[in-house]
Amino acid sequence: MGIDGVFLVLWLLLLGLAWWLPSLTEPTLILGVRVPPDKRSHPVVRAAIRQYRWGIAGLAVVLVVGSTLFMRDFALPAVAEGATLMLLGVLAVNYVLARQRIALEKFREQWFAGVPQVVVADTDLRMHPSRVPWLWLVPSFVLLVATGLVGLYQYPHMPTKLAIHFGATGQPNAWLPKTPLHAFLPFYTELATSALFWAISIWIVRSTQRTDPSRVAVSVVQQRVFRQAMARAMGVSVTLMDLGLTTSCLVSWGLLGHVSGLVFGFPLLGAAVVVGVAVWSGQNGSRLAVQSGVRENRGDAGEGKEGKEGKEGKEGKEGKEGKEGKEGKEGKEGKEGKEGKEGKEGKEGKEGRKILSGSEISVSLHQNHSFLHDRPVVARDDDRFWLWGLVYFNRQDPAWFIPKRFGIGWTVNFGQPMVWLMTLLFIFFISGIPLLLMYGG
Amino acid sequence: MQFVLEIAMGDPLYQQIRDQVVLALATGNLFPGDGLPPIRALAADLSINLHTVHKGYEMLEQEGYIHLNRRIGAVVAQPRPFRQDLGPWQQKLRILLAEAWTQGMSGEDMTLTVKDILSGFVPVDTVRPGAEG
Repeated sequence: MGIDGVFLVLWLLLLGLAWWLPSLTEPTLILGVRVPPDKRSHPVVRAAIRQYRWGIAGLAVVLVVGSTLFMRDFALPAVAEGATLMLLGVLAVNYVLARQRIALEKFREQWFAGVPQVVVADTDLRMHPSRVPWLWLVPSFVLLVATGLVGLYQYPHMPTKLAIHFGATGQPNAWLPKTPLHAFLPFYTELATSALFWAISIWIVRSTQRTDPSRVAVSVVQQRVFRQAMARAMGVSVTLMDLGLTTSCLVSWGLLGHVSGLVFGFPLLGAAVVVGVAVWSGQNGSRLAVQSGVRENRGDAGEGKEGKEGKEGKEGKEGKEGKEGKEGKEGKEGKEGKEGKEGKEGKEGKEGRKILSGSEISVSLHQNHSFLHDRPVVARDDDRFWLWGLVYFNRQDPAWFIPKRFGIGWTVNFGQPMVWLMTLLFIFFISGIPLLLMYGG
Repeated sequence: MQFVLEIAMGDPLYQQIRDQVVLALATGNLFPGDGLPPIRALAADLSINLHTVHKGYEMLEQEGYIHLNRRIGAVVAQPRPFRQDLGPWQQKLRILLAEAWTQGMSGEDMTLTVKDILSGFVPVDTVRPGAEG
């Protein structure tokens, strides 16, 4: 498979992911538009998603036909890269056109009029966050240290010309004279990459929550499981990434010959792990089948519990409900608790992923907030803070990173000056590397 | 506990934060010695202004429900001895009852409602289950 083939596969993967994206977002965020739970199956919403997906299917056909006709041109990296950019542009337009239909209908029919809009925060997610999966980060750390030691030991024996850049096939295609800076450049890259991934993994378990008010208990558990899973996935990913980077170190230091594929293969696999876990769990864990019930008393049970939570959805519901009864706080949950359980059991029996409808919303909230009576509540209509549902700008919100509305992972809050500073520093840092290569050493 | 704030309707957000802590204490969702999230973290989780949360926390501190500490953050205070000055509280209750009364609610129904609400409260000196040891 030539470079054109590689690009075609990547494009089709990208289209596949884009096609799948509407199924990964939170239930009340359709194509990046906030909708009340009862409007999720509105005809216009369904039609918009259909339109979005047909657009992508059409794009896939155009791509396959186009690349067979112009196979030769795509062999040029510049053409292939240009085509990738164009593809992203067309995807964005396709998305915006589809979502505008929902936004328009929402505005026309005033979907949020008269329904109390709320924001919800669970304090336990903050005060007793999931544990940082240190064990999952250890392999990459060991690998990094080992690579550094090998480099130090090998330095005197290194060739005078060092390979510092590799082509798409893993073949070195740029060399530099041997100096401490140049010799350890691939190692510094590995160090920086690892540090970034470790930081993300540690950050994930304490990241900003976005709890869905229409299914509070489920949403909180989902976020816990999601954080745990993503933090671990980052650990696996950074290990694979480091395997690739260590390989490139060894090639550069003359310890390994031509190692095609490995240099790129491992990092690609690492990226696949993260994307895979994100697709499996859904954005902010919204696809995870979890057993909500009443929150258990955290503390001693808290740490062990988290690992199990993922499985709880599969486990019998009976066991959990029984426990709930025992742990229940004396008289209080006597009445309310039963109502809530009945409602939930009925729904969960039918589908693993629990969706609360209007009447159940009030019940689930009733348990903890008796003052909210029987009024159904919905998530705050926060569309005005989101440009096309993609770019977040909210001066009031002190969060720097929040879960994306449409897509995988997190995005930044451009309403925070610090975010602009970080973005600038990042650009500065990225553009600084080539300068360092040219003038450093 | 969970903070559920109603945006753009109802009471000011800081008041809602204050009210919900008081309610969580009464209903056994929050206990003396528990920590509350740092101001910045809670504001981010709720996507609201820092100062709103700060104001709510300050209100709670002034009323003696929590201790604010730069180092350890916000911690729920131990229950205080019963306060004799119930004037302001009675005045509020009076207004609430008057509202129901003028809308035609019977005194009997009010009493039942109050009893129902009280049955959901836990004694003020309750400690978090499993935390005795």
